[in-house]
Amino acid sequence: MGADRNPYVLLGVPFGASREQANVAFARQARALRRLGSAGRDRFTDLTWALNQIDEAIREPETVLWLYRIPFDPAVLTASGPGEFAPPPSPLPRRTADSGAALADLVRQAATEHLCDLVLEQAGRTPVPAP
Amino acid sequence: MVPENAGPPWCRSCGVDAVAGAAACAGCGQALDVAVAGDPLIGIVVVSSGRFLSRNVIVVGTAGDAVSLLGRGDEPVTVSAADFAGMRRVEVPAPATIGEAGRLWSASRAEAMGTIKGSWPHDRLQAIGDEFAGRDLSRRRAAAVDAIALGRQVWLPRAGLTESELSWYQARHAALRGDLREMLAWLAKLPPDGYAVRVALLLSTAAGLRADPALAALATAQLAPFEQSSPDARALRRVLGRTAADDPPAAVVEFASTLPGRWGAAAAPALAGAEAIRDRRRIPIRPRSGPAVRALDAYVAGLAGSNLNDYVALLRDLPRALLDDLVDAGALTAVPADNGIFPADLRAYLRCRLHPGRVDAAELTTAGFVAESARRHYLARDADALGGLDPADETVRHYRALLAYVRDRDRAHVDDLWPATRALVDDLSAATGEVSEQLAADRSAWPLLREAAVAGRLTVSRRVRDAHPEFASWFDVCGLTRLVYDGDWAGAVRQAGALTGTIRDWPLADEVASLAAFARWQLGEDAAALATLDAGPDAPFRAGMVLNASIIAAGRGSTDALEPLGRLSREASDRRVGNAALLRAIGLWLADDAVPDYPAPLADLVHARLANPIEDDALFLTLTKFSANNDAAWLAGASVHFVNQTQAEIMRFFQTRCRILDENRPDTLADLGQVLVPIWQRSPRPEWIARERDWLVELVLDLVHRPFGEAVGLTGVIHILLDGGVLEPGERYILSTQAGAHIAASLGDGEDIRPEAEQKLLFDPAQRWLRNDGALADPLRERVGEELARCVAIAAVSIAQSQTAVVDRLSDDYNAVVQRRQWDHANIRFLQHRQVTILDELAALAGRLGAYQALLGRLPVPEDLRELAGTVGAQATSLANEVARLRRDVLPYGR
Repeated sequence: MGADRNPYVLLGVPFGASREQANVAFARQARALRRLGSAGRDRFTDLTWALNQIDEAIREPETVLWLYRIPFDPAVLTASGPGEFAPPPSPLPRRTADSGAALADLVRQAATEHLCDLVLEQAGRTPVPAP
Repeated sequence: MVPENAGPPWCRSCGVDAVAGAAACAGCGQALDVAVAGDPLIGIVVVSSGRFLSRNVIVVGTAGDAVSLLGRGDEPVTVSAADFAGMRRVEVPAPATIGEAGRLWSASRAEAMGTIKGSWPHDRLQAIGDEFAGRDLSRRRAAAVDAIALGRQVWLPRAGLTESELSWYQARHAALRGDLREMLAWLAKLPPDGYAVRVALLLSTAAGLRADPALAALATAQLAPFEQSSPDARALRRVLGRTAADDPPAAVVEFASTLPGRWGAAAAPALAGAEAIRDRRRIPIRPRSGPAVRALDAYVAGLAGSNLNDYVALLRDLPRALLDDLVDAGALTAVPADNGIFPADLRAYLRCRLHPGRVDAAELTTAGFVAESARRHYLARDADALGGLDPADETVRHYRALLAYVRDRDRAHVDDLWPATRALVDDLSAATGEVSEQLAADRSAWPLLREAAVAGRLTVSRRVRDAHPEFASWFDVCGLTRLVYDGDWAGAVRQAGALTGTIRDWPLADEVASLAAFARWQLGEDAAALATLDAGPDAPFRAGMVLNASIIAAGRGSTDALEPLGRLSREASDRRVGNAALLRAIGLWLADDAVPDYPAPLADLVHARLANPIEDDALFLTLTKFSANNDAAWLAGASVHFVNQTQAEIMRFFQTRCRILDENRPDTLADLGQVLVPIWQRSPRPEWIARERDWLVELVLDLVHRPFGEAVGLTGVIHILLDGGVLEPGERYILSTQAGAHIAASLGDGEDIRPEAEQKLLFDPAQRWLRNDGALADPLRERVGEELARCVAIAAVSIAQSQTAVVDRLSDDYNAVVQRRQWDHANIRFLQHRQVTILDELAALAGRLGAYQALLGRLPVPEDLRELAGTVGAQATSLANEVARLRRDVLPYGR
């Protein structure tokens, strides 16, 4: 690698990948290098360095400013829309049954209130009867 | 006269209704006559003007054109109607009455109570009233009503009326007085199904009856016999709340239908409202309409298409089922978290129904919305939280199985997945070969395909590419990434060129540019790489692109990196990235030997950052200290924002540090010491202050080592450092004795060092060093001792020299006193005392010099100073001997 060595690129994992992801990538690449024998020794040294960097040197990837980021933004990796694996919220289903009885009850209450309203107004218009 | 509200005829005697036009009751045979007012002049009080005085008289009879007036005497006098008309009338303060007897009794009562003056004989007027009362049935009825009103109950037996008729009059009178309990007690004495007029009486007092449940119950019982025949009785019974089986909608319509005849046009909205309630239509709201009426109207409006978000107060008491209707109808679409209308559980339920993504965890718990909790735990990849939810819930099982698959590719529980998800998981599990159309269509599945896509284990058919071009773009970027991971820089540049222009979606288009720039950078094409990134000052800010540009630019020098790092510092939404960019810009400049001067753009960034709140004290310290070292002139006068006491201290220290370097400012090293000491004494002590202490002490140590007498100006800061406990033991010895020596060396003839300063700066440190309390070990102790001894020696010699003038002055004084004693025998005692005083002063000076002599004898005085130091001892001895000799001369005179 010509420019500064980048442990994430060397391991083939996204910038900011966890130690677990890095370990898996390291193991996969190391297996492949074993088949090359001594020809893969330098490459193995690079991978070991890269794993060590991610394991030990990089504590808070978000604030690392000396490593080129691939991808440049985490949004490239994350789901760009809802779906089966990123389900959007669904409204709570209705938990009440038929509202007919409740509505009938409300109508009765309203009728009683209105009757009371009218009777009291009529009361205000009614004088004490003559003797 | 029949009163206006008399209504249809009815029998006062037994209470049954009568036939219109009948003269007597069909039931009891009693005449139907009603109470009458009689002759309206009877009972009127007027003023009769006599020859000498005027008096009140009362009309007790009329006949033709004559009016009989009762005044003084038992017999009335007669005046003409014309004369009577000229008399002034007098108002009688009394309860309202109906008939002639009532008016006469009222006047008699008022005269007896003293509320008017009457000239008539009381008993005579009462008798006349009784006579009127008994004339006929109508007058007796009027008199009975009036007697009750006037409290003249004793007359009632003479009325000859039935008990029930009198009870009716009593009930009516109680109603007029507002005593509803007594009214109901009198009504209870009436025949249960007679006196239907009581319905009107009860209606007229409905508000008071309704306010008292006990009265309402009694009234309801009174109304029962009339419920069939009277709509008012039926309505009033319902209002008083004592009806059994009922149909309120029909009842209100029935009652409202009676109103047009009573209210006229005003009854129309009342009737319309009643019918709307019955028919469940929009209701014309009246000012007194209750909450149920308003809620029903709002409900109907909501179902008809009105949005009720701004009217939730009307829905306060709606049953949950009706609120659900409104939610389902789209009439209620938002309930804010701070809604105070609904109780907490209902508010949580509605919010979970309306905007499940915005409710908090507490609301989810309150509403028991397990499905949303499970979804959130899944998205947070929180297996423990998911494990805490009820496994019997199929949603919980779905998300557990989905998380196990997404995180670990664990298919053990895929049977718990919902069918559509299960199908995608099955497609994903293949992990090689052709990508299915369902996976390509579901963007949330793409991250799960990324590893296989980057590894080249997947293919995408033309059909899927054409149907899902966005997926095809994403897939191609994965392929480009593979070339970069493989280190195929040229291939990556070529592939990126092929993709550029075909991919326009953000962030994929930028990712293509970023990958291409990385490849070019690896090929050594820095300028081309930067151009490819398109992250210059005129380009839209994208943090990752600018950050990558700063990394490439850093290889070209700190100046090139400053522009992208500056943008990051100013524009990054993540404050941590902005801060890190600024620190990196500083670090790159400090490491760049090609740029010796502090770059103005970098200074601008630092200034801007310090002008805004910085939560991180360490960053604040770094930037402040960096500015103090590189931008002192600016920091000395800068207006800096600090957010806590720690930062205030940091700023005060470094600003003072900068100000003492500015010749135009009055601040001194002593000011800096004053700032440093309280920080140094703080517990726990800030780490940064140790280095600043070292800096200041080293500076003072450096400045103090100059020819003795020239560094007197440092004694202020040295005192502060000594008193503040800031100095190490070795520093204390050196700085204190250096200060003492500089003070002593600067003394002019006759001047002296203050005794407490001499003790603190010279004697105390020298004696502590001699005691060697173990604080210093050799060879440091030796080196300190040599310098300390040099300072004490210089101080001793300097003081001895400056005090020579004092010795000379005292000697002259002494000689003058001796001379005077030759002739001034009158003041011999005073002069003798003066001699002793002068000798005491000289002795004290000799003692001081002797103390220096003794001290220097124990200190490792440098070779070059020993001879000079010896002169102090000689001067002390000589002076002491001379004082002793002179004392002997003085002593014969006694002290």
